[in-house]
Amino acid sequence: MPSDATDAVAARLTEAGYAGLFLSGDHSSADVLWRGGDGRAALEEIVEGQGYGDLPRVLALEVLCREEPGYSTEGQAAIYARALALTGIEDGPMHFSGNEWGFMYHADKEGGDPHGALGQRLLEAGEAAVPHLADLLDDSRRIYYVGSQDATLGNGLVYRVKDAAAYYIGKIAALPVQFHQDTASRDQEIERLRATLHDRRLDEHQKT
Amino acid sequence: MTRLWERDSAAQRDAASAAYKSADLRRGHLVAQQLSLSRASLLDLQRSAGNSAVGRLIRAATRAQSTQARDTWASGSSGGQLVQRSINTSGGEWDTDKYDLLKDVDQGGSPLPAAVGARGVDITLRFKPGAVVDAELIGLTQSVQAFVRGAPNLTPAAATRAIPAADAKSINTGKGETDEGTAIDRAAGFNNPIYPVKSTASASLADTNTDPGWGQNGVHFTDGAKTPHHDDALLKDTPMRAGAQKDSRHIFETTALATKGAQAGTYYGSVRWGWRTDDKGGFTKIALEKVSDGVPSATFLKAGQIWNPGKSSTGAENVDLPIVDVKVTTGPVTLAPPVPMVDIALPKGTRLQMLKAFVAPLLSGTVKVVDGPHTGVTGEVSAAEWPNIADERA
Repeated sequence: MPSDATDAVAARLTEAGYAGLFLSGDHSSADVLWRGGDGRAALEEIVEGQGYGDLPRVLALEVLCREEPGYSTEGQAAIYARALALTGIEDGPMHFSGNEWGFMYHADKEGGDPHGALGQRLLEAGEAAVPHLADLLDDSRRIYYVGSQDATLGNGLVYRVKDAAAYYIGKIAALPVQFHQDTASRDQEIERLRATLHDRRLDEHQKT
Repeated sequence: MTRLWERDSAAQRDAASAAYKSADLRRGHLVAQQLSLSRASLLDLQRSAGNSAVGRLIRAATRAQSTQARDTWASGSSGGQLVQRSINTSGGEWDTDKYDLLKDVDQGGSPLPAAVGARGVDITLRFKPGAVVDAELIGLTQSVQAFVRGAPNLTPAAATRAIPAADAKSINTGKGETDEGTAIDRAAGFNNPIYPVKSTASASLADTNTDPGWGQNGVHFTDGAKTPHHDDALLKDTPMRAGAQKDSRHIFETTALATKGAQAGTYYGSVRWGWRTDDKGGFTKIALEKVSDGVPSATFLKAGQIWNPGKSSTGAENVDLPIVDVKVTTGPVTLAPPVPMVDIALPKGTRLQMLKAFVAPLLSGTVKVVDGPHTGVTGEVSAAEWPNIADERA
């Protein structure tokens, strides 16, 4: 049963956001919530507690993963897929930037960081992430990059959540996914991927 | 090879020194343009008529042009209406081909929800190398500092190499502001500090594999067949931050560096640009202004020191930037250049590169001026005045 103290940690996670926790230099507050390991129980409660909502759960899990390399939990794949969903910009504050997912298709071809910190977590989650990512293949919201050259490069690519979902499905499931500049061609590629995933599921059912 | 200090006579340099100390200098250049006077002519006039006479001329002309002058030089207060003038540093001229505010749009002009709070600029910065430059390749490199809602706001790449709070020093960007969080600016996964270089595992500052979308290297030299080569260096950037409706800033210092040729390793000066939002949501460009005539600021050098031993996010060792050991005068220091140049009384705060430190029983040490009107001048400093030189970040 979550305590008031856990609720307070969840509130602090939400207030700080990803940038406040990890990207504020010496002012980053992840260590304050980790408290040398004393904060672990509250963070795990938040990760396991679906009532807390996606944002604090993602942030709590990310604190755990950073503070304790190798940390993993059963719901990791679903939670990081939700992080990708939360990256899509809409009429509210931005929770995660595209930077956390790398330059993806562009980096594979031209160089640069392909995955970012959160993209790497998805890759580590493996096949378990694929169905959760498949749920995002209809999400057309933009991913927005911040920074200087990161923003110049990233925003020029005009990635959407579903482009990123398709990219990571392709990486995890070893399925080729071609990138196209025009969104209509991208959408066709995503439909092709969706059909491939459907066929894979049928094959798996038949085998079992 | 032309040495930088040979381009002016000692008298011209002294006149320039006086002019640079004058608060009217920028207006002086403006008036000089209006009167079709070259900078050299203005200095000649200053030398013959004296600082006060030239100052009166400048003030009279400036009053007549006061409205235009305010619009021209108001530091960001006119926002998108700011008129930009070129900036001269030891190695050439800086200007912007494009310098536009971006609010609630991306660099392609596509609208973004207002609640995202996207703020930034779209800039094309041009460095035109001057006659004193002898370089087969000139790269532009820059440091960046970003604050959102009053707190450092780093990209994942910058977070690995930013100046920590404990090492931060006050800077003149705004009241109470320091250089905390400043980092050499490259996108995640790139290991060459020269901004337009697109190689991800680059081996040299003189890498010519550049992305035209990020700019181009410059060049200015004459080859063995007496053929002159010239090209401006360009930097194209669209820095953006989210949640930046208030109390945010994104400040850059861009410097030009010779990466190949006779002057390889020489910095040709640096400029500042960027944007900021205030506590009421006012959103303005930072006027393009000179930071250094030669070696970039202590902030840039500190960021470079942190950059050099690092690696990119894909594991490639960073290509090193030249780090100059810069000291600063804290009291009276007289520079004794080689004969026939006359001694120069260096103003307090003059930045110096140590060429040969004073060690007893020597009678003097040797330094080179790396910023201000005497940039490039080398000379001796006596043992008696050597204690008036201190570490720049002390």
